[in-house]
Amino acid sequence: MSSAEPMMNDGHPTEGALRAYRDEAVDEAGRSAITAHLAGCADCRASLDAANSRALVVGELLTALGPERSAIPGAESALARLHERQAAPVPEPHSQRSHRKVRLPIMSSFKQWFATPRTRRLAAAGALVAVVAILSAFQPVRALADQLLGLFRVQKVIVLPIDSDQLEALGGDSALGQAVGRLFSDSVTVLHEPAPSRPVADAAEASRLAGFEVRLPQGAATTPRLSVQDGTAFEFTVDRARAQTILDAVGESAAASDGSSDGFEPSAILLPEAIDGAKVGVAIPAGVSAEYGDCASMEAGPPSRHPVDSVDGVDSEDGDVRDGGSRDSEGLTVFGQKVGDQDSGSQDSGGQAGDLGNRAEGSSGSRSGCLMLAQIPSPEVTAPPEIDVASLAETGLRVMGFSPMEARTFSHTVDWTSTLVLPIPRGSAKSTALTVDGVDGVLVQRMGGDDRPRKGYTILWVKDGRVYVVAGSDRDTDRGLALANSLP
Amino acid sequence: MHSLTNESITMTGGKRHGAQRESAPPGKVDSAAFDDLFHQHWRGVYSVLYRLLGDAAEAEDLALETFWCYWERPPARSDNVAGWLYRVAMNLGYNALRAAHRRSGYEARADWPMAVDAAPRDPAGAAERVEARQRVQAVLGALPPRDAQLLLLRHSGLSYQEIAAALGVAPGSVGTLLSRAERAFQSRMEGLGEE
Repeated sequence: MSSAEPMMNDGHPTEGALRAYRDEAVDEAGRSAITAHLAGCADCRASLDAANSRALVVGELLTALGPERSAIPGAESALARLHERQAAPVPEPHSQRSHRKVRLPIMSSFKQWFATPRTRRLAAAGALVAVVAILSAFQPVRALADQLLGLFRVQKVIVLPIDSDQLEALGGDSALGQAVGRLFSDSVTVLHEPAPSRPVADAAEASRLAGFEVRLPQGAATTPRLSVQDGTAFEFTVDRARAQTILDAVGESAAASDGSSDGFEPSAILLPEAIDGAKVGVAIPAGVSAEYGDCASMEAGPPSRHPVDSVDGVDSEDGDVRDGGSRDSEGLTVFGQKVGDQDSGSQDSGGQAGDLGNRAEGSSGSRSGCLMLAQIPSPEVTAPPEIDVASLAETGLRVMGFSPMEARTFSHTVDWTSTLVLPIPRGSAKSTALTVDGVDGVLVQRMGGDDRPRKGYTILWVKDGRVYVVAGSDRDTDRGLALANSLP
Repeated sequence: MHSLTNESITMTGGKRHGAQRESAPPGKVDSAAFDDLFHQHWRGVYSVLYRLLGDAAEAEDLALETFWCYWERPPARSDNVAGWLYRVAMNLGYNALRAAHRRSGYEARADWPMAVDAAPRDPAGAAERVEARQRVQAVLGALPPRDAQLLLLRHSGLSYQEIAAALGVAPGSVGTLLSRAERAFQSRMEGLGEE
């Protein structure tokens, strides 16, 4: 036992020290000290006996789990299987071949998440990736919008209400916020810089450029304006020491605020050594978006930089809305792109209410709002196998303001290797599970202070390995749903 | 417990460069050395996974996967290979468990996948054993994962150093964490017995 933890407490060996003593895991000096103490302390001898018998009982029960020695597969035959595999050619391309490959996101379990009381407050849907967990964990809300998820724009598929106050406290100009900023600034390498989004003439061209068969609603009277967004790839290297410094600070503030009532020691959040120097790669394929209706009055902003202001609702982007009359239409962002934020050539279609726009109920009359359908094959994230994503996610959730118990419960129930989580500010956005396109999906609505939906909603789902997003600039969610459900 | 954190940083000895990692090509492990390593740790890794999963076939698959990971992408440091192997095994095992949980429903937290002998020679005794095992696994499943892993690893014979490396905790804290985990385990077992 090293000196990491005091071995003595009030002059007596701690329970942990006795436990280690029992296992002969105490260094020589400590061992002598404890032995000497035990000779004269009946209480500690009793504690040691108790620890010993507890260890024996637990050991016996666990041993009973098996396997019996005779049932363990022989090392030789197992090794032979492995040799076969070693001899086989490795089909995976370039540098990712030695990485674990995970596909994401899988959101088939949205409903359970939303229906489960235990997780209602968490109310997350869909999926989260290691990197997003790590990165978003350390980013204040604004930085999330400005930097981090800008890189991860396609992965904002999931909904995780978080306390934005908590994140504000971590961000900005505070020392912690600056440390967070430095954490990733030097370590990201863009492997493939995405080209600007480009308008295309028809579905065939879109399919050809994007590399997958684009699905578009059948029988719509209005032809959507189509554009293809280039894919991107990047990787970053984890700097454990820097990250740990931040965690320590967070751990202290968490300890101050919630103590360890559920048996969790906040300051004991340790990033595994294995994480240091680990390279995490993210590859996001090309995607296709289709616009319907009046998207011209929407704000045009730089694509792929402000992916979460849609759900943030407090982002400074609000002030930049081009059309003063449509301020409510701010902020829906899909795959890093404002709804209606297309090439300027596409902004001449004001007032063009599509068939789909009128199909649902025509509640918005002839001035049907903008509706956008985006689709993209699932992004891929690669990470070294020794990284335990769940524990990192737990750490990240703690930083985002979740209680230790919530963070643990949530992080260990989600499959982080296939789940992408989108943080939304608690209170200013609401998520609802629904069935869309024949699968489970989620509807995210912006909420006003009066607890009623504001303009702007997003419907997300994943089907056959492709992520879909329908975003509307108004409150007419039925219309968006009708669009989604009209896909062939 | 703040000292734990600091300790751990010190022990890590600062930043290690990612380039090291990347430049290590798959298969850089010497084949004979790999075989030795396999023989040395195969039973242990398999057994821990078996205890965790309660399923022989899955345990074997994931144990093989663990060694495959080592072959493909060995750790940058070789000073605690056992710790690394068990960490990977635990990650793989827990991923499998989580997948099983999702299949069987989110609320069934304590309901770990259970091992059932395919052809028990002694049906009554086998049923009893299965039931006992189910209780233990249910309790393990209800513990915080780190506690459960701690118990599994320690009672599979790993040293404190190996456990520390496998779970990413400070070696000096293993005694304390283990002691707590055993208490929690025992009290839950007793709670189960009274029901």
